Amino acid sequence: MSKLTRTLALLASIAVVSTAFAACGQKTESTPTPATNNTSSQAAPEEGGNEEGGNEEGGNEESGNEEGGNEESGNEEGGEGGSTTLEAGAVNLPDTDDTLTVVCWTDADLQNMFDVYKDYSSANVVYQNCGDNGSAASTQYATYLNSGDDVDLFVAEAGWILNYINDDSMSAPLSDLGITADDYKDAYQYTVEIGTDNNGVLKAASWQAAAGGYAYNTTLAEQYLGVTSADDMQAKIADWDKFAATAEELKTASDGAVTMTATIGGLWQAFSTAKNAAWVKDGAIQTDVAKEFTDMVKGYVDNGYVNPNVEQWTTDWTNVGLQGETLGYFYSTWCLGEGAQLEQNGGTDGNWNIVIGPQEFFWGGSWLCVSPNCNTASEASKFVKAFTTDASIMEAYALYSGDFTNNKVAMDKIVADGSNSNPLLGGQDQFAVLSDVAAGIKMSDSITKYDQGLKDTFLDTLKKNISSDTDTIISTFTTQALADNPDLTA
Amino acid sequence: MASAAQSRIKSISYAKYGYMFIAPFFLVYCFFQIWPLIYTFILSFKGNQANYTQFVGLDNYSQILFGTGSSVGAAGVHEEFARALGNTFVLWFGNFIPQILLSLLLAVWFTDAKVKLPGKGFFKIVMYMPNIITAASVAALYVNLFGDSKYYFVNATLMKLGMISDPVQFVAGPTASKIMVMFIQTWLWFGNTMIMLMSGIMGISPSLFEAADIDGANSTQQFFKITLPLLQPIMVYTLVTSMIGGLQMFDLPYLYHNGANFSKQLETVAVYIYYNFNKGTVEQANYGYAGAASIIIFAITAVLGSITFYMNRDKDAIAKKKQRKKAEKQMKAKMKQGGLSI
Repeated sequence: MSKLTRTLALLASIAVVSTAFAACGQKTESTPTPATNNTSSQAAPEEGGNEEGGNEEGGNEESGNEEGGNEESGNEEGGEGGSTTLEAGAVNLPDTDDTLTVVCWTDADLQNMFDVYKDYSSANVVYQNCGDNGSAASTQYATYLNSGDDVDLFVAEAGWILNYINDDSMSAPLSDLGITADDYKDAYQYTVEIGTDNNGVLKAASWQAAAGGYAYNTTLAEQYLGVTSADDMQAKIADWDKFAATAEELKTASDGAVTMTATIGGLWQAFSTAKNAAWVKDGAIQTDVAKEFTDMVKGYVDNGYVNPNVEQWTTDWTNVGLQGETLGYFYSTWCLGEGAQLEQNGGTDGNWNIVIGPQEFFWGGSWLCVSPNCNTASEASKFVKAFTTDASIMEAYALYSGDFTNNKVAMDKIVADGSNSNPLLGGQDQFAVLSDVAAGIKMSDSITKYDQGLKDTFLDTLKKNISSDTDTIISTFTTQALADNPDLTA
Repeated sequence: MASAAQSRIKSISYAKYGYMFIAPFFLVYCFFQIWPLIYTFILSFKGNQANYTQFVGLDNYSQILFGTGSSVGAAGVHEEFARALGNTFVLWFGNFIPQILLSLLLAVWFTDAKVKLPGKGFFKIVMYMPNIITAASVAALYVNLFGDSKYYFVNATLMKLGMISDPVQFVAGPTASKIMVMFIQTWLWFGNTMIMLMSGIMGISPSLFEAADIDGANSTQQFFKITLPLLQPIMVYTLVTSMIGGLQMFDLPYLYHNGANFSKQLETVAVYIYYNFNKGTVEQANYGYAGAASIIIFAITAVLGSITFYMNRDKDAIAKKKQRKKAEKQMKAKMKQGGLSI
């Protein structure tokens, strides 16, 4: 009897302990690999593709159904749809896996890429979402990359890429995939400079050049300003003085019902990036640009050119566009595609146009980085080359997604051919407008790892204290910024 | 006749099976509770951002509490923490006081035998209901009802009715947003407190109320002389749990905002801790400040908890105990005198 009790007790204890720990174990395993986020561009070439186990099975089966029979499974090089043949560089990393895994948060971008890539390669490419926005990804990547889960490439954003490319345990040089800086002759140079780490090693390559412009509502422009063409509009807002004068004209004509632009956040992006001034220099916070901007924006708010209570990327931000209460927005190229911000904010009727605006600016941008644990080196090499160096694939991607790709040859060709016409912009070709802007982007001296945090703090302080004087706003911001970042000095 | 074995084993202890049964819990508890607790202490003595491995002693505490220390931003750190602590207390008082008054009133009404309230069960359920909605949904609901611009329901209605000319900043306004959070917290928790107080009141013997009735006490006298004093244990419990909850208030202050970032004017200590801890990669996060703030709030909770218990201790029982001790002493003194008492 007592033996039975003892055995039962032991069994129960073991069961409880193992459940407790099994739960924890499962959590770490399953978090980064939710089946729903797992997608695949092409069927697994062979049965052998399933050797990683359960995680990938869902993805493979799914794509198998989508694709049906896949004849060219043995022929990995040959793309029947495209004119180019993909070639891997001389790789320096293992090549033991069949599935190329890209970790990202921008699944929409990646899905567009995979859609295009299908025509060129039969490789099995999957993406894995890690966080649902850039700042979440910036913190969760560190855990994911160390977890031992399959990761070959990962996507990083301008605001925090420096944290990852300067850490050799997180990223490997592109030369390990046989890719060197020489491959980027046609790329916009700033993307290469940012992708280079503190030791001068190329660690990341971008597929896009995030040039920005001022998109405005043509109906409102005609009604209140009498402007009928994009060139006339550009002439009216060619610099900040003209921008303010036009805002005043708009205010008078509309009786204060229409603001010049939706948010302070958008103004900041347009104003600050062209200055190419870093937030932090030699460990000290720089406030010159912030001061200049504060002076300007206080005037704008006092005169009703912009509503300080509208927050960037919120429902209010969308509403002012939908309700015709703002003339325009500052957008980056990635806002102009189908289903993106322009469309959400009222661009469905095609009565919007884009112009360069008072200053050439840019907004964001994402890079592809190589994980040191990459085990699909040749496929990774082909993929990175395809989207960062291959002009014809990048042209196809630009036309497919509306994204401004990081290849001057491809973009020049689209502009010259006139092959792009954006229905949301009334048939206007945004690439033609923005190609000069992209060529002028300088970002390499100005990005630091503190950017995202300092920008958020500054804009928040500015909006909360908009009625205070400039010096008070700047000193409030500095106090808060120093409290957040004990590494820095004033 | 006892067998050989029975006579050899005098008693069988089953205690070890008990230990076996509780072992899993304690193992998990040690791993996931005790160690993180200890580690928080350790972190509070270490640096921030890139210096997170460096031991800095009490530097974080001196920065947070007094604004002096190694970092140039120390004054700002102190200012921010002081603001967070102030917000915590303001938000706690602002929701606890209306909450306890409302709950007490409703509890008395619902338990009063003389008030024949129809649909008591229905009201109890309806009033408890908000408590089962997650704070995330509640915040989403209120942000969408009370949004800052004229596109949102409350502002739109008030403007249509001509009661206000410009939209009220219910979400971003420094005072209005605090009042909103207090209101939401009260709305969320008064049902819960009411149920608690009702169980306390129902635990009071009805004969006391009957006796008071017969003696001619009116309902105010009954409330202050019978209900309140006898409700004290439950009141203490409510006060202590609400205080712990209030000092750790996180969800609504963190969730109630427009845009991507939480509202600084609603920043409580818990939000401060989370924000500093979760600011990006290891080299961007301020583990030291977060750890020190956790320990400080723990100390404050402990002190306030002790004060509450001290103030609400059973004074009669203590007085009786003292008397008994005094009497014992006198007895002993008498004994020493060798029974020669006069």
